[in-house]
Amino acid sequence: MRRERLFVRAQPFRRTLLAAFLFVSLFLAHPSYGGANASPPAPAHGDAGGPATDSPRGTTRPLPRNASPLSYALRALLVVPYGATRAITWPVEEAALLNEKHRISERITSLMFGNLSGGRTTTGIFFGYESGIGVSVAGVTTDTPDFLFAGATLKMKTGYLTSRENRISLRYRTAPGRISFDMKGRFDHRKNRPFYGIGPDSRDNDTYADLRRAILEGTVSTRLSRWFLAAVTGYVRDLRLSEADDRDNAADFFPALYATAEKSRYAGVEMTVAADSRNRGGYSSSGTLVRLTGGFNRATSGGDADYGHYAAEAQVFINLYRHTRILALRAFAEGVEPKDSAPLPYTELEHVGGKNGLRGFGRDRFVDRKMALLTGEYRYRATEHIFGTLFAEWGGVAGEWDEFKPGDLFPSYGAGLLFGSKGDRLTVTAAISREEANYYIGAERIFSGRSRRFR
Amino acid sequence: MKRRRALCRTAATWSVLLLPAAAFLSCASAPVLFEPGAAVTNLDDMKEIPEPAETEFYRLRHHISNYVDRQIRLQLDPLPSRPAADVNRFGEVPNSSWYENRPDLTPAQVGRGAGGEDPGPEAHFPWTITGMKSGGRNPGFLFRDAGGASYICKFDKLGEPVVSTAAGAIAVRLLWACGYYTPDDRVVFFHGKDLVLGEGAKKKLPDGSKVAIEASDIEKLLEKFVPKRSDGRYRALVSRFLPGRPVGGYSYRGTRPDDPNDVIPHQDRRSLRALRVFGAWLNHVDLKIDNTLDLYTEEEGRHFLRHYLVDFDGCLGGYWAARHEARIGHAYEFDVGELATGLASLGFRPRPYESMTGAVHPEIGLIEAETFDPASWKPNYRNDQLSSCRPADTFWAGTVLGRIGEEEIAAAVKAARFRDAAADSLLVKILVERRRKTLDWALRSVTPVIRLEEVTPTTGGGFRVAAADGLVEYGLPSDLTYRVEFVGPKSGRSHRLAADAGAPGVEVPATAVQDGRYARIRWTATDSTGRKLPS
Repeated sequence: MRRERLFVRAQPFRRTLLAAFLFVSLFLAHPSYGGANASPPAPAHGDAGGPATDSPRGTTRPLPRNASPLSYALRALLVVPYGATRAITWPVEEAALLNEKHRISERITSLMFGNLSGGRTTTGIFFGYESGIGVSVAGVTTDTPDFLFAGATLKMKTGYLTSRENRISLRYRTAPGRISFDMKGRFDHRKNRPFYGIGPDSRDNDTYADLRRAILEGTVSTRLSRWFLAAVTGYVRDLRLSEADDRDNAADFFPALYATAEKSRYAGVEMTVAADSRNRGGYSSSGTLVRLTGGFNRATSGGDADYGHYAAEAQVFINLYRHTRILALRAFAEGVEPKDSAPLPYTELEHVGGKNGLRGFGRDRFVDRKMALLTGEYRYRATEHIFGTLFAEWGGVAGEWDEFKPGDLFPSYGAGLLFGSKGDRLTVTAAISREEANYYIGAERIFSGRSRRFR
Repeated sequence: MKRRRALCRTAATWSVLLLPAAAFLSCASAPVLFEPGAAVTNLDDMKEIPEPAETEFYRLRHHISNYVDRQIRLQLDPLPSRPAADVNRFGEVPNSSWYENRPDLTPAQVGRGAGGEDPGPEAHFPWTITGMKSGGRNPGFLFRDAGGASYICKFDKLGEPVVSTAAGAIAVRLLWACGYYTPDDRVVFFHGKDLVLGEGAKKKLPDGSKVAIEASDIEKLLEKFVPKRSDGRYRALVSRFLPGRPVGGYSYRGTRPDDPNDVIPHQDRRSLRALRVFGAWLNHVDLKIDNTLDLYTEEEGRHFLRHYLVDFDGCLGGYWAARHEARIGHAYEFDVGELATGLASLGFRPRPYESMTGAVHPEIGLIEAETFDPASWKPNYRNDQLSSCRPADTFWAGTVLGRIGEEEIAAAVKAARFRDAAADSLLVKILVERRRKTLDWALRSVTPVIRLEEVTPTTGGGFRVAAADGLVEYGLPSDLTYRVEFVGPKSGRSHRLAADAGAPGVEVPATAVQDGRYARIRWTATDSTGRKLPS
C-alpha cells in the first residue's frame, strides 16, 4: 500500500523530469543557446553588379567549429546548471528592467518625499541577516541632503521584514564643520530576544523576552585638530521588557539577576575624546583610532540605581601591501560602576557577542559589569571590489576587572567577504565558537565601534 | 498506466540516443570548397529599411546580465565560437554598414580622423548652447556652432585634467583608421564668452522632467567641473552629431529584429570580434552597448542603419580617471576566475598589476607597455563578441593593425593637444610598443601566411604559389619555419621549407593538383621554441 502511494506521487515528478529532458534536448538542437540569438540563414551578399553568392565567403557550407564531440556532450550537461541559474537571473534582470523603464523606485521616492527638500531625496534599501536572529534589519533608508535648505541632513530608516526585529529611526544633523550637531531618535522592538545569564559561564541560563526601546539623543561635537575630536552627548532612554510568547519571563527565570526590571528609564550625559588618524571611516587600511568615553546615567523611573560608565577602545590598521592587504587589530574594554555598588537592571549591564564583537557567539552572549574584547582581522583583496577576511576574536565579561581570568576570554574564529568599493559595503561573514556557528550578511561597517546606548 | 510509462520510457530512451548522435553529427565536418569567383569586397547591407524604433540602454539590467548571466554562459561554454560570417574567401571583412577598409591612409588623414578637412567648431564661434548632456559620468552640454554644425561637449573628470579628453581624441582616430565608423571627436579650447545660451534650451532633470537652462547653470558647470587654463580658456572634447537619427546601441549577441539588413549575428562578425585585438592595443576596456550607436541614416536615397563606435574617453587608460583601479585591462569589473584564485591564495600572491603605482603621466591614464600582454588583456565586461574572437579573427585584426605605423600613431596622439610635450612622446612610445606586442601576438595566433594571390604554372602540370610571412611583411622579426602539406586523396605529401627560404612560397607538384583545378595546401609554422602555430 505504502509503495503504491509512493508510486502515484512519483508519476508527476517523472513526467516533469521527462518534459525537462525533452526541453533541454530541443534547446540543444537549436544552433545556439538563447533562441533569438541563433544564426539566421546565410544572407545573399555580393558586390553591386557582381556575381551574387549565398555567402560573402564564396561557399554555401557553414565552416566547422572544429569542436570535439566531447565538447558538445559537455555543453549538453552544462545546460542544466546554466538553465537553473538562468531561472534565477532572468526574473532579476526583468525586474531591474521594469524598474528602470518605469522608474518605479524613483517614483516611490518622489511620492514619499516629493517636495520636502526640493527633490534631492535619495532612497536606498538596507538589510542584514544574522543567524539565530534572522533578518535583523531590513527596510528603506532615505537621505535628504540640505533638509529644508538649512544645510543639514535628514535621514530616516525604517524596517519591518521580520517578526524578530523592527525599527524606525530619524536622524538630523548639520553639515560637517568645526562644530556640528547631531540629533537622533529611534524606536525599536525586538521580539523573542535571547537573554543569557550573567557571568562568563551561563550557557544554560538563557531565556527570551520582548524588548522595546525608545531613545532620544543629541550630540555636539567639535574637531580640535585634524586628528582630535571631542563630543558631548545627552540622552534619555526608555527600555521595557515583556514576556515572550510561550517563554518564561526573564525576571522569573533569573531570580538572581541584579534587579531585573520590566522597565528602566535613564537620562544621561557622556563625553568622548578621540584621536583618529584612520584613512577611511569603517574600512580603513591604515591609521589608528583611540577613543575614551565616560559618562553618568541617572535613573528616572525610580527604584533603579544611578551609575557611571566608561569605555576605552584602540584600533590599529596596518597596511601590509598597497592598502590591499591589511591587518586590523582592536582592543575594547567597557565597564559600569553603579552608585554604592547597587544592583543594575539587566539591560544596563555590559555585554559582548554577536556581529559587533565575538561573532562566533550569539548576540549579547556574555553579560556582566565589565567587558573586554580583542580582535585581529586580516583583510586581503581577492579581486576588484571584493576582499576576503580572516579573523580571530577573544572576548568575555566579569563582575570586576580583577576577577578577569585568561580563561574568561572566549575565542571565536571566522572568515568572510567584503563587497563594494567605497563607503558602504556588503559583508558576508561566517564565524564559529565553542558553542555555535553564526552567519552575518549586512551593510554594517566592521569595527565601526558601538554605542552602548544602542545595544 | 503501463502504456503511458512505456511511452515515457521509449521517449526518454530515444532522447538519450539521439542527443549524442545529433551532437556528433553537428560537429562532424567535411572539407569546404569555395565556389569560383572574385572575392566579395562590398556587402550589400545598406538597403532601404523602415525606420526602426529607438532602443534604450538600461544600465542596471545590463550590469546584472553582465556580472552574472554572461559570465556564467561564456565561461562555462566549452564550444569554440563559430567561424566569422562577415568575411570573404580570403578571410577579409568586406565594406559594409559596420566596417570600411581604409588601407592607404596617410598620417595626416589619421590625424584628422573622421572629420576630414572640416576645421571643426573652433573656426565657428560663438557656440549656441542647445541643451545639457544627460547620461554618462562626465558633465557637458550640447551646442551648435556658428557654421550650423551640432556637437556634444564633454569635459575631463574632476581632478584629472586632460586625461579623458586626450584619450577620447586619440582613440577615436586610431579606431577610425582601423576601419570602424566613428564620430568626429576633437579636443577644443574656448573662452566663456564664446558660449551663447540658445533660445528654448532645456535640461533634463533626474525625474525625467525638462526645465529651461539658465545662464547660471553653464557658469556653475564651468566653475565646478572645468579648470580654467592660464590663458582663460577651457579644454573640452567635442563630438560632432552623427548624420541620421540615433536608434540605440547594438547588442552583444544576435541581430537587431527591426533591421532586415542585420542578418549576421553580432557575435559572428569578425569586424566586432577584432575589437578584442584593437581593444587590447588601445586598452579600450569600456566596450559596452552604451558605447555603440546605430544611426538611421540616408545615403543615395536609401535609408538604412549605420553602426558606430562612440565614447572613447575610457581608452588608453583614461578609465583610470573615472576609477582608480589597477585592474583596468587586467581583470573584468567582476571576475569570477580572479575572485576564486584570489580568495584561495589568501592574498599571498599579489597580481602583477597590483604593483602598478598609477598613471604614467598626469595627462595620461593607466596604460603601459612593459607588463602589457595582449593575450591576457581583459575589458571591463565579458562581451559575446570579444569572447567569440577566434585565432582567425585575431590574425585578421593583426593584418589591419600592421598597416598603422608609428607615424600614424604620432599623428593621432598629436590630436590630443597635450599641455606637456613629454606626454606626446611618452604615449607614442607606449602605443608603438603595445602595437608591436599586439601585432606579434595576433599574427602568431595562426600560421601567418599572407599574400597568396600569385599563382604561376610550372612545367609538368604543377604550379607555384607565392606567399609571404606575415611577421616579415609587417616589420617584425620572424623566427618561423614552415612545413607544407598537400592535402587530398592522391597527395598525402608534406615537406619542410628551408629555414632560410625567407617566404613560405611553395611549388605544388602535379600530383597534388586535384581535378586539374585546385590543390589543398596546409602551411604549419613552427617558432624557435618549437611551438607549432595553428594552420
